[in-house]
Amino acid sequence: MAAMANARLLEARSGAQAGVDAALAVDLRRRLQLVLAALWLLDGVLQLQPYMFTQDFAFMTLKPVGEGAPGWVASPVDWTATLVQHHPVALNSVFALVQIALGVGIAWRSTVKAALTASIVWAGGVWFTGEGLGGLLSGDANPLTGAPGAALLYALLAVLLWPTERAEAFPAADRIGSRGAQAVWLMLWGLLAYLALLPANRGADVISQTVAGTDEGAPGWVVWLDDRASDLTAHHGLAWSVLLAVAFCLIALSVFAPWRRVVVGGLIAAFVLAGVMWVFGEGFGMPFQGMATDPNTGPLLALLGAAYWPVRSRRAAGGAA
Amino acid sequence: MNAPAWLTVLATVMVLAVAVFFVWRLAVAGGFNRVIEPETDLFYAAAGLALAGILARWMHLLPPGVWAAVFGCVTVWFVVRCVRAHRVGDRSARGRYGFDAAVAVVLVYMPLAGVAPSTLRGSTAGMVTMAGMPGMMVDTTEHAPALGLLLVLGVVGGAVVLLDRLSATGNLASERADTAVEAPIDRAAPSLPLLPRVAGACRVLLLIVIAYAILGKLV
Repeated sequence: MAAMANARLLEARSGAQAGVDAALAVDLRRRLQLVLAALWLLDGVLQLQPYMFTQDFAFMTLKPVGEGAPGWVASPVDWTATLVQHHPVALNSVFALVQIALGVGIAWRSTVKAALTASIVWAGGVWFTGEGLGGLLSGDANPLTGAPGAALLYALLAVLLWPTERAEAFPAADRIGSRGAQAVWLMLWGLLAYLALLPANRGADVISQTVAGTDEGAPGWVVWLDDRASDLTAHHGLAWSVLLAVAFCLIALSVFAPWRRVVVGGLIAAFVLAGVMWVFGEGFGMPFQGMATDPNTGPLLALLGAAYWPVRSRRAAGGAA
Repeated sequence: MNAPAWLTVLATVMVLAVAVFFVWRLAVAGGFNRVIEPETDLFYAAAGLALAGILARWMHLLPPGVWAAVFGCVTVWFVVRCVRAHRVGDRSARGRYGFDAAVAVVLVYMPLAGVAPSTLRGSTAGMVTMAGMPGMMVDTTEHAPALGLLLVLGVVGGAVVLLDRLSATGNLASERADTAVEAPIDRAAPSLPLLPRVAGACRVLLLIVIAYAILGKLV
């Protein structure tokens, strides 16, 4: 009798363990959502840095964003900066809490949709009033330094990683379909190519100076890396801009290729370029000055690329759909 | 660390509450006939106390070197447990001990890197850009800031994974309780953990405060 009872107990426990394992299993979409959650959580904690609670946050971070932008963009940016300048502690506390809540909400399974919706609204607001539309209308938006803006990519990722039962060839297509997702990719990387060729970005020493300007406060090895890259690109800004634009275009078109190898090659190139831009152009989001509000666009572009990774064959995806 | 005083106090009180919670769990689990992992609870109680001392001067209990040594030993302990769990094929225990070992490594870094209460009054925030100018006063920055950032990424990632697992297993809690009731269990043997979701939430809170403490002292 006791042996039977123990056997039933073991069986029940192993069944419960199997249930736990099944519940803990996560697919690629969920993994990417968790990375997005981690980025929001990181942003929230970055927002708790001492600098953010001072008026300097409004003066040195927010106000310059509107410079060069048309009045309808610059005015709201200026208004926001003035508001933050007058209430730095209260407003920054709200900013931090909202972003931490977004991270927690996306990580918590039953609140994913609500948190993603909120993140789209929040990122939209930040992109407009905190990033001045990523500088797109100022004429000097540089993809190397984070154009078209991290907030825009956060919103885009929230849409592409929306929970759904559909299964397309890659996670980004599950919600909006392959054509829609490919169009988004084309527009994003096409925009980066266009921005790389703007007159303000193709000067002889623009890239070199951009790279040299990201290492303030950084550890020695980062400064050393930046110095080498700065020397390499000095006086050859136009050539590097054209090279970057061509690479961006090829990446933009790669997702349309009918061959998996080409798609994967394009995505790997996207990861590499996102990494290069993050290290040399964005200085890892410049966290070493204690003034970073987010890790900038490099990690987000990589995350976006991961959402386009072909996890299923097109035929299988079509059958599943 | 020169964040607003109320924020530092709030964070300190929260990690102290976490420490008190894990001590309470250690004390009452037997009485409630519930399962806990004493070593893990003890570790998080100690982590809460250490973190409180890192955040606020009035909670300074032990020198940084002693805390580093303590958590160094804890790291070794959890690594050994993790390896043993791996050898017997217990994936759940392996993951749990691996996670705790990783948190312990971060707690070794913090006192050694100089993450500590500020030595200055008021805020020096934003002055880092002029740190090299004569007469400018900046707080002592932590050593190996790049490693600190890397650890912050790991800590934040760990918090998110923990939240995901908590939300996934939460729905199974009632099922597990039913299973435990239906099965003819030896009533004397404890089978259900004590407040597992609260314990998980406390760990998440601790991780967020760790990330905040490291970033706050980065410059």
